[in-house]
Amino acid sequence: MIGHCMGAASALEAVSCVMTLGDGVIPPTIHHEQTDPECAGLRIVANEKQEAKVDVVLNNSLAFGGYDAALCLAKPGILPADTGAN
Amino acid sequence: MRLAITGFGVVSSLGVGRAAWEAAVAEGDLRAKSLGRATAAPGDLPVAEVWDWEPKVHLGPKGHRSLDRLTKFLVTAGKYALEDAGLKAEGAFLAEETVGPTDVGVCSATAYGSLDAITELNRVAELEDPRYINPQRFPNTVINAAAGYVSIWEDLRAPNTTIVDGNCGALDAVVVAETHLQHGRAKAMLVGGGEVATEPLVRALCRLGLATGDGITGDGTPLAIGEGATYFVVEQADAANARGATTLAELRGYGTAFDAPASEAQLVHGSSAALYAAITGALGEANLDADAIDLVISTQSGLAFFDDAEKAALAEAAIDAPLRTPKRHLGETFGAAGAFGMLDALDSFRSGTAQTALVLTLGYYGNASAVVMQRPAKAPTPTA
Repeated sequence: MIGHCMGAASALEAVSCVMTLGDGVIPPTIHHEQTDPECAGLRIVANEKQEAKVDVVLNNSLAFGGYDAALCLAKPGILPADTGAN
Repeated sequence: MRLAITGFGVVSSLGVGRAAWEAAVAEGDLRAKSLGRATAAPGDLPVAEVWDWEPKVHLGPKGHRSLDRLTKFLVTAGKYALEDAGLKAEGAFLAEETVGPTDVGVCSATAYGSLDAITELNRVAELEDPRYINPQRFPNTVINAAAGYVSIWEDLRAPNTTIVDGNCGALDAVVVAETHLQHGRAKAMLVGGGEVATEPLVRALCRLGLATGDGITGDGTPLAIGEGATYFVVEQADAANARGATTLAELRGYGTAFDAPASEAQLVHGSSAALYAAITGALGEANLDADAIDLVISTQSGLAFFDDAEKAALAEAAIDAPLRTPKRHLGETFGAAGAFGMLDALDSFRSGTAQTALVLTLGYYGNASAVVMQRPAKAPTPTA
């Protein structure tokens, strides 16, 4: 929908995640025509938004050179208190 | 904050590797050894280049042809730091069950590390033809690529982060590393940074009026441009002791602040208010009073309006300790300057001339950072 925004991509995705937690609307992956057979197990939200109760969201970012990061966002009170662990 | 420095690697105008560095420091006369006339800079500017740089001596004959100068500096400094800390030897981890590939990460600072690669790519595209752009050179235009190669070369799989916030980068890398260590994402971090004295950088500084001699201070020494890289191996102090590592120094406090310039038209802004806030933050975290500081590693570079801002901040913080000014012989190394300042503090600890040092960095646009370091064997008593 918004192209690859490089260094800003994960921040924009995080905004989308927060809005999903708040509104219960999962934005679609647009222009989806055919699912790669190797992605058969994924529940892809293709072309049309879905409404759902979403409490926890995982936001993944994979960079070109081997840098990977993941951010877990949740509604307040859903997850146990922070233990300080990884 | 209680982190241990257990080793370091250095690429500098004074030599490459700990032995060369310490020998040069012991011999003295550092300005004469370090400063010369640039091969990369226009005009007659003094620079502190990594003289006679020969990467094959340190990295072997193969595998680094497409790496740029900064990447080679960083990879070399990282390799020597890991060996100095007793974590690796001849490319292998010495005790993987204690500290292995997944336990070591990188927090690396640079301010202008990819400027030369970007300039070259743009030059080819504009003056020759975009078809002539070398795709192998493109990764060097991405500013975190250089630090990424450190992890690739040394097989380090814990977090790898590049800090790009001007002259404060290497000190700010300390607190990023602390976060990763506290959260158990790594047991040891390579912390520091690197910079390269390139023609585009020097020309830009000349256009800004920073490298024209206008900033000559009372002793008549102009700003010198420097380059090099330094990494420290940083671990939680207790973990370092538990594995039997030698602690060269402890990191005890960190502070940072930003003070916006009064006008957007202002191109450079050295803020005494930001530096004062950074100093008081670092002292507060270390739980020390100002009089516990017996050495200041100054950020003085020869630019009067920045040097005066530092003097004002130190006076307001009531710090009256002797100053060491590593930039006067190593040149301004921008994002790496904090790391070279920490290295200077280590020299003072080793010689026994200081117990507690305050390392300062002052950015060109309103940011400032400070770190408190202590000699491990004889620490001052905290005030509370």
